[in-house]
Amino acid sequence: MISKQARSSIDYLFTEAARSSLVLHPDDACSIEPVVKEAGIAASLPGTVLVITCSSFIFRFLTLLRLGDNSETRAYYAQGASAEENSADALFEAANLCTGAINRGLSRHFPHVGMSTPYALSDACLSHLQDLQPQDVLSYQITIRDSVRLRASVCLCSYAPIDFTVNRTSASDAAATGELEFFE
Amino acid sequence: MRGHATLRSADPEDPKANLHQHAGRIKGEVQSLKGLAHAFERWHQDMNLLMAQNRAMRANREELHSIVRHLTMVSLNAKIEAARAGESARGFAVVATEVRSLANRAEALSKDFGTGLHRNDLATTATFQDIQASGKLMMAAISGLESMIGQLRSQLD
Repeated sequence: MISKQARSSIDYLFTEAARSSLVLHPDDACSIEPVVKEAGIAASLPGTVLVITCSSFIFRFLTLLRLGDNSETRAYYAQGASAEENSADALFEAANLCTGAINRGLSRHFPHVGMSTPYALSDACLSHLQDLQPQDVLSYQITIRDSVRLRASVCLCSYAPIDFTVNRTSASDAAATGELEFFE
Repeated sequence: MRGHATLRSADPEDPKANLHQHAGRIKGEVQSLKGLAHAFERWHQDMNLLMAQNRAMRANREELHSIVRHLTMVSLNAKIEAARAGESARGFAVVATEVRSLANRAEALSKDFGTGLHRNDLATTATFQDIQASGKLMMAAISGLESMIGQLRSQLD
């Protein structure tokens, strides 16, 4: 139900959004690699996963983000502050910005798209993504400055055929210059 | 709908007045649709309640898991003590084995319960977020419609 070019467009929207929102300093090197097999991710990155949903009448895309369980990753998102919750707050904000950029990219092709607020779940929930009957799950390993690690997945659930192609230049502009998505 | 009842019939000879009246009716409908926000708010509250219940059930399940682990240890120790005591504790060994069997069954049940809670969390969160996101898109669509009707009415004036 999700065409090949639509899948590729969502992949592009996510990677652009991740580069513009999860990387805190413009000079930081960032690599985003697709992960073919999801098995073992939960074991390598124990803890919580952040979930945000973009919905339209015919689809919902869930973006799931997990911080790597190492001090460099926590320190990067804590941005100098020592409290553990600072890194969690910063990741909430980054996840919100990331999904906001995807939402703006989608809204160029679908007239009615909305976005939820983020929610933290145990990563044990990831083993049950198939319960949502997704057509596809795109997974990524994100590495920033060689030591900051995140895992991300975009769970694609569609309820009608979906076919669109993003204009790659305008989509990256939207990701880079988009408005802030505020918590409610 | 109240919007229909309060509008008087336009002069059939005056098409502009007719159009104006229709636009007024549509505006009334759109304004009443904005009441959907109350339904969304109600659903959000219900979903928050469900999530809070899930958290409480998870805490209970952790306590249950801890009890089961303790029970397993007690049954193991009982078997060891029964073995040490030899023939005179044969009956005690049977009881210890039964307790161990109960502990194993309780552990399997606790594990299933934990898995069920994780599935519940995911399904509840996905539903909650879908309602929240869909609520936002619907309210945005209604506001867009309201703005278009406002523009149409001002063109008719």
